[in-house]
Amino acid sequence: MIYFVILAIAGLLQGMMVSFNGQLSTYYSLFTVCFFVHFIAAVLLLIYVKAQGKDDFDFRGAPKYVYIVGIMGLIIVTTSSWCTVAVGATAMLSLSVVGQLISSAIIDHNGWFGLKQKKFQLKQLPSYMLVIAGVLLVVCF
Amino acid sequence: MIYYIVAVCSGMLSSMSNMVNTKAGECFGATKGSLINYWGASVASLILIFATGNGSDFTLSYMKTVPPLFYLGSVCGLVALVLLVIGTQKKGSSASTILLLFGQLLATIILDYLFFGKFHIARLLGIFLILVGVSWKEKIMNGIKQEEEKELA
Repeated sequence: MIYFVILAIAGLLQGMMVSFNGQLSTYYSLFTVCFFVHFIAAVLLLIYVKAQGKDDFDFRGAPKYVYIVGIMGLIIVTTSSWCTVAVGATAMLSLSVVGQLISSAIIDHNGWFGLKQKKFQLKQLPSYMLVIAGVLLVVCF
Repeated sequence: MIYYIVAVCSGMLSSMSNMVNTKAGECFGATKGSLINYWGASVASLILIFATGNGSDFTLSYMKTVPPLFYLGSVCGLVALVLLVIGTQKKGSSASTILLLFGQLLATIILDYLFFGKFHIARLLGIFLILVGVSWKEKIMNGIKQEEEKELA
């Protein structure tokens, strides 16, 4: 039971993150919001790594696309903060779920990123339709 | 309309980013993998701030006018990440996906009410449908996985 609560709290904190970042963008430019969001986390993480006594910062040897993960993070935080102020955090997150379902299905169907290929099956479609119906309710009201 | 399309695209990119983050974690370990993400985004956004002429955002007197609570988004994200790792190890990815989504939507519906005064009972029904839909999808995917494992055995 405790782990269910831990996961729900993790979700609550992520929801708070989206909402706070959206509020921050009413004070700063979107890139500045993105800077604060990532820089504060980077410094905290660096302190944690140093406290663990690890100081190996050799980042060579990964596939090239791994090094653009920061750019992806920048685009995600910038766009989500921009949308949150306009449509609210709940609508933003709900629409993001639709996007995540679509791209996960595409990644699975094509077996990208070295994952085992899982072809899209029609029996999955009703569950997607249910999510879309829910998102429409959130967006329209 | 543009906001809705961008929000869906942001979600699509989010899934891909998760996959790349996972790959970074495999190559460098979870902490160092996250460091690449955070430092990369910090440097890229810093360049864009000055390239777009928004350097004045960093004036201390202006920064003090912003409620401190709003700076805590990234701290919330980091704590969530730690809790997510702990919870997923014990309960698996399906349960973590659904519970995480439940928590996210619950937090946003409360904060949307506090910040924007937005609330409607239909939104709760919408969230319920999203959660049922995602749970159903996870159940189908687990069923497909079990069928494949049976075929292999």
